[in-house]
Amino acid sequence: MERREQRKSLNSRYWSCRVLFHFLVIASLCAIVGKAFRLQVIEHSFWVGRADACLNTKFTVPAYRGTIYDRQGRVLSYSVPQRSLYAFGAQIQNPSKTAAFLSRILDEPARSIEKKLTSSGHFVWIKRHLSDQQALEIEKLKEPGLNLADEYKRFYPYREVGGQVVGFVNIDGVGMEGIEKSFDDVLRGKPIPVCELRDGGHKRLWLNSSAPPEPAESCGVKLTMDTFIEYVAEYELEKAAQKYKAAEAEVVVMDVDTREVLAMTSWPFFDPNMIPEKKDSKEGFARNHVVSDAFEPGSTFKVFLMSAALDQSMVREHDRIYCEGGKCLLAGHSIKDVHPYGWLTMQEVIKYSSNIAAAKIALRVGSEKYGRYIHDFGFGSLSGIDLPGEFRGLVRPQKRWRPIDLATTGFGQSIGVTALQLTNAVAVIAGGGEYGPPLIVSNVLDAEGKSVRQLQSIKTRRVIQKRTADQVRAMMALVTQEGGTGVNAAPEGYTAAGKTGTAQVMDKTTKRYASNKYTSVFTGYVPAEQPKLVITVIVHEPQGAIYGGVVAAPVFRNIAAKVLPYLGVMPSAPNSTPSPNIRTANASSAQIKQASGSEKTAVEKPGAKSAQKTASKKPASVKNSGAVPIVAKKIQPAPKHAEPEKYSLKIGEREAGLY
Amino acid sequence: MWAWLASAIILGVVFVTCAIFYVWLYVQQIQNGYRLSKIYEESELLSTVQRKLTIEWSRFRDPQRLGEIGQNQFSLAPPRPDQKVVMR
Repeated sequence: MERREQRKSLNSRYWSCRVLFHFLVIASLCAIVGKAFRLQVIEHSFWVGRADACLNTKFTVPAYRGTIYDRQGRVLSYSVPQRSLYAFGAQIQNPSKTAAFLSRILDEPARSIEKKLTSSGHFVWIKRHLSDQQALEIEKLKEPGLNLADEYKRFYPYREVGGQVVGFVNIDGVGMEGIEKSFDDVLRGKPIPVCELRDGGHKRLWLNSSAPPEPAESCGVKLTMDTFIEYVAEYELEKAAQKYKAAEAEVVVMDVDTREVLAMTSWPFFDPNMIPEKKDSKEGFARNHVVSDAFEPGSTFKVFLMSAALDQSMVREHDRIYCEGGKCLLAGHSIKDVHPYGWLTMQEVIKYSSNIAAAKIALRVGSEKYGRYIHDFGFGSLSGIDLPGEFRGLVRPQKRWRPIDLATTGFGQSIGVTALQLTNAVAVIAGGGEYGPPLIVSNVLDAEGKSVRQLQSIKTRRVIQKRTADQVRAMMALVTQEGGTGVNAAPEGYTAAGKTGTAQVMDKTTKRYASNKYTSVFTGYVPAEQPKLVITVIVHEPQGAIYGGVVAAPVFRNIAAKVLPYLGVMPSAPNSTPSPNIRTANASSAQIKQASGSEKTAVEKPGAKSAQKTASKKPASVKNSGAVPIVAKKIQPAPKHAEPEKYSLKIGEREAGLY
Repeated sequence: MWAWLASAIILGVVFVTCAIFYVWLYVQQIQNGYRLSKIYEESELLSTVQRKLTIEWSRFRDPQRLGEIGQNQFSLAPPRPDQKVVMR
């Protein structure tokens, strides 16, 4: 009985314990499930966010700024990764000690670095674009609060060559000048944001199904400029600018057929690797004066006046005009020639560059027609070249032209043109009379260098008839021949054509022409018979010599002499003989021996002999004293074949003194 | 009874094998992820070096620099008239 009672009480304890145990187990499981439910369902997004924040990091795959190439594919502007140092001031434990370390590495005063570190507890740049050595040394410091960021720096390996055309970018990679500015949208890369995992030790881990994106390069730009031609142009221009102690100088080389600018520069030159600070004396060097500054073109403008007059049949090639012996009163103002002339044919007006004749012809053509031609040649309007800051020039509205304005515009005063406008207008004449906009960019390229957009100069209008262009070209060819003002412009072995100009410079304070400041200009093309290149040389305020034929023409000659062989243009000058001590490949060994010492060899060559004969037969009416001709004071009769009686304009005879 | 036990053991072995295989795959994936990241970093570095070499190469082709080297190191100068030969 007792046993039964004992068993009963044991059973009841057993069952109560068992129930309690079951309850505890079930309660524990419920608690676990409840907690899991809370973490996985209710607070799911919160915990996922925290996990992502610990593991996932965002970084940007760099997109390099597009490359700028010259026409031969040489790299003119290129982006290279470079690291920059930044700091979180609040995390720096000992700013003065850190500043001392950084000062040694960065070669900057410790005080200025410390000032940056203590100025703010937040983000602050310490130095942008470190060298590789500096970045490595800073990495070794492992200083908390100091961090390195991957950035990109723009490099210009050709330094000053084409510096003003290529332009530069600021420290944030934004185009500020030149092609860098005008094609900023095309060149600027867009970095790709990418998510990546990092473990507890901050090691990178790529678990995405797709491969990590590679750094891409944005679209590039191919220029029409040729680095070699640009270098030659700069070299020759600098030589002349230094020789004549010029204030500034400019040169443009253009392909006649395509209107592609092969070289364009202004002296002093600019190295885009050295970004100029504001108020820096070199800030102005970055400016491309060829497109952004106007000057009075002087006598070079006579070719456009002559084009207008011939095209309108107001004069003919062999018409003669009286030049009043070098001084006359036109429209109430006294106009002078550098040398006194009597009667000159239209060809001689260009060859000897008579201001009086040009003024008379301008008055004859009239402001309306002349103004239209000026506009059609591209003066007074933007050429549309892909360069920033282009200036349209200074051309007064025709309605406001007084007779004296019309007369002086005939010989390139009272008008302001840019070097590019002048070059392109000469290209119109050299190219047969059609206007096409100048071109500086030929292609937009994708990252692999394939062309995605091709740019061309399309001839938009005919300015003068082809016959007129041929006539003016013949006149311009005379300028570089014996007796012309531009004899120094002809490169050896080639024919050249052009026009000299010597313009007075307006004094900014007195608002009058300064008596001692000039702009020397030569613009023309080579070879004369089949124009390939138009070259314009402008030297501002030369000292010692002032004439375009003396200062600018030799630069033209030297550039042409080096560039034409480079472009594969063979020497073509008719009757040209090499200078006495230059050997010819087909000369006999005896002749070669003689060549170095005597002048006899060259003239003994077949062809050369006849050339010399021809040269010796030329009339000696014009004495050649260097580049500036001295024409006899006598009135020159017109050549017989020109039938002067039939074609004479007789402006001077009919209405003497009126013009 | 024995048949049931055998099939349970086989299923268990298969399950454990699959689980081990899954873990092995996951470990491989992680390791490949690290390897890929490393290769990616190397590729970035090489790309940087390549870009720097491109700049160096372009710098060597600078006509201004070549002119200076020609003049200063090799005493080169434009030919005198008597050194020129006209090819005709």
